[in-house]
Amino acid sequence: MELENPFIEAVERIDGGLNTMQVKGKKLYKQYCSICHGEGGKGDGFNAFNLNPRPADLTKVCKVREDKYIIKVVTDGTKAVGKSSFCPPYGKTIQSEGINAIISYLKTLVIEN
Amino acid sequence: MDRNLRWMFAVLGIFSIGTFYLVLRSEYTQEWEKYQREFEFASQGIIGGIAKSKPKEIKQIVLDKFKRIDRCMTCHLGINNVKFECSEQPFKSHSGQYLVWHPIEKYGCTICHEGQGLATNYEDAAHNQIPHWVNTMIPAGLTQISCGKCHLDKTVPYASLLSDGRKALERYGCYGCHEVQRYSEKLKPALSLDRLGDKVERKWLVKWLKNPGDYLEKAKMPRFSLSQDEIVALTEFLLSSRDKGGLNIVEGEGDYDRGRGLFRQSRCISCHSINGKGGALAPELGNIASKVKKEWLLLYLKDVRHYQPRIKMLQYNFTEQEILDITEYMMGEFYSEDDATEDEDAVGEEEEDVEGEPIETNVSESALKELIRNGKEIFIKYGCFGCHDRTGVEMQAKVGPELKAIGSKAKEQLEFGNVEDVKRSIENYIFLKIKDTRLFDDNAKMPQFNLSDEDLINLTFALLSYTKEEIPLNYRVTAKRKTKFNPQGQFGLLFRKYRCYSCHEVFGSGGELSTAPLDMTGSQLKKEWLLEYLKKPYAVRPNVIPRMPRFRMTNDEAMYMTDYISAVFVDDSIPDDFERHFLPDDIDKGKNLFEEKGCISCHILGKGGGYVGPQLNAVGDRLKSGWIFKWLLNPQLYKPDTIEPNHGFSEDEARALSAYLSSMKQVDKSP
Repeated sequence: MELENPFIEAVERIDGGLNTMQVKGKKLYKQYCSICHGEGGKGDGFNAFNLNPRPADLTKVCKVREDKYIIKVVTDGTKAVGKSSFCPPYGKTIQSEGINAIISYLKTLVIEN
Repeated sequence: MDRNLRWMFAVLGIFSIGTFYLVLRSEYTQEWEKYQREFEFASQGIIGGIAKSKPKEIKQIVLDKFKRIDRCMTCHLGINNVKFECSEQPFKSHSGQYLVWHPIEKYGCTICHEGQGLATNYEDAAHNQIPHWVNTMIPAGLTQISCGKCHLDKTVPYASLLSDGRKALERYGCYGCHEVQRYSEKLKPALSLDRLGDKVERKWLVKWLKNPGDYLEKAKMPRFSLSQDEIVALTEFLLSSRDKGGLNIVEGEGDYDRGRGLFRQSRCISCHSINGKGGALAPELGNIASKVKKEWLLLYLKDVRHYQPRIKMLQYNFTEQEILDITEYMMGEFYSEDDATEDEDAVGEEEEDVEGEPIETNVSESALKELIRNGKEIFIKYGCFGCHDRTGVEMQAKVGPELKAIGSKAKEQLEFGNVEDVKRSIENYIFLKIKDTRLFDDNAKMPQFNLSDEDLINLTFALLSYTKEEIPLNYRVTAKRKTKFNPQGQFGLLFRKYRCYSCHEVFGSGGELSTAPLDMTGSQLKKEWLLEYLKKPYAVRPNVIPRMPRFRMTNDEAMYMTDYISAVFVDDSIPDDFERHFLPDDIDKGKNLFEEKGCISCHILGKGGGYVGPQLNAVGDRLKSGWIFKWLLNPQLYKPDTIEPNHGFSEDEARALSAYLSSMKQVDKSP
């Protein structure tokens, strides 16, 4: 008879299927990014409507852009890739391990059509 | 006879040579040897050379202090070498920086991962949860439990579930009934029940004792499933405690509308929640009129510390008329209609309580005394004294079992009762027990807590981290206990009267509601602005919900606080009269930098801007230029969690920006 393992099952459920890296990335995203890019990454955060151009819809951007590009934006800001200077450089604020964690979380937000 | 002996000799000889051969063969084809050979081969591809695995040997780490010997590295040969991070197991290197912080020579492996350290093959090491094995490896998602063995504080880095669990343990007050590490001297988790008879309505108390969740959805107090008789007796016992001199009530009529205005102005919602919205620091007020007596509320607002000296609420400087107004508003507004229909379930005697007369008139004096006596016994039986103080109930032993080594409890000793289809393990036991306390035993005394799924998991993590493992002193990690900041004299009086530390952190201790620790406020804020702010606080950051309340400080009080803060809460590394360092073209340079760096995305300056950080239109009146300079150079130094990025400014750039922002002052200063 297959015995239930309620605790382990609950732990797996609580992270919504995310691994440790993605959980950390989610926490960092909520703290630093969600205010402009929104809870779901759609670019509809609380501060989004004060900005022109609007913050990017990350569910689309992270699908087409490769990791190197996203890392550059997070580290050096959107100015470094030729866009507005509204997304500030977070390279000195978040360590590279944290930035990698954010990238791995952003990938989970991408909506597959 | 001879021939038989010879045959036997031959057979036995072959037999023993054969056995000898088999032994030799098994010695040379051990699992770990196979891995070490594979590793040599694999390492040529990854590091371009043969890794140090010659000669073939068992690698072990002997840890005297932990009484462990770990041989994991015999197969896990690449564990310490980053170049193997993409390899297959068992050569894959350890994830993260954990081995940098905990060198393997000093810690070994099993201290964190458990399992049989002495084994040299996969099965014996108990990589999986093998039944009947005493010590199996901790499943991958649960490793952070082991962090708690050495990291003794509430916040453990990289172990968020464990940290949240320890905070939940404190929040729900488990240490009230159970012995838990490091909480034996802590004050009781809930408020004292002395003089409760003055405070609450009988009807409310009966309902509350029956099920706290009916009154308050997120009630921390658990449900005890008391019988009707028990509730009646306990109610009488609790209400029998009253203020000897009776209540010194404020006389007069209150004005509802004025009260509403005052309530809003006082920003009660910063700390209190009202119908779920607002702060979480203080009780929910949405239905408070059904709970407290009007006379009590009047007295409370007049002197908040009269009933509970430890209370976190500050003393507002209301006049007596204002107290009447606010009470009128609160008793009228914060009443939920649902209460009126609850009477059908009320205690038997309550049904006679038609006109709201106190129950004493229906019950004889001696019967009442009997009820109170029974109530006291019930109070002791269920261990209420564990969480609540009450004069008359002397110090008793904690009513629940000790939890000090709960994580090490052998699974054979766990009483799962009638529950059969669950795997026997300590983690399942704890998880299911706190989820439904009567699941394993209908007669269990432990009450039912109202825990969210998240709480359940976090608490289980926290409890599992309490093991019987003896950790040597030099391995333990705990922050030094700082003595609490306890100012004396006039400032001390004001500091305690207004309860600054309920919301603000000062020199390491205090509340977390405000994002601004007061340690360097004197170096940060301009004196004139601070004085006006203390008298009339307003929203500096539009984005945050809690607001500093209007204390109605007198001018003298505000001046005293401002002088003290400006003199004492300073940080010498923040230059005081920084303006003299400004160069003539700094303001222009600063303006260009401000545009170039996109600061407007989060701050309002001029006509528009973002709604994340404070608006900067009059920042030159508020902040000292030395602070702006230091802040821009490294925001995280002063507020580790701030969203403000560290742009990596040079000192020239930061100075220019500081000059620009310091020039932003309010032009028209008419009062």
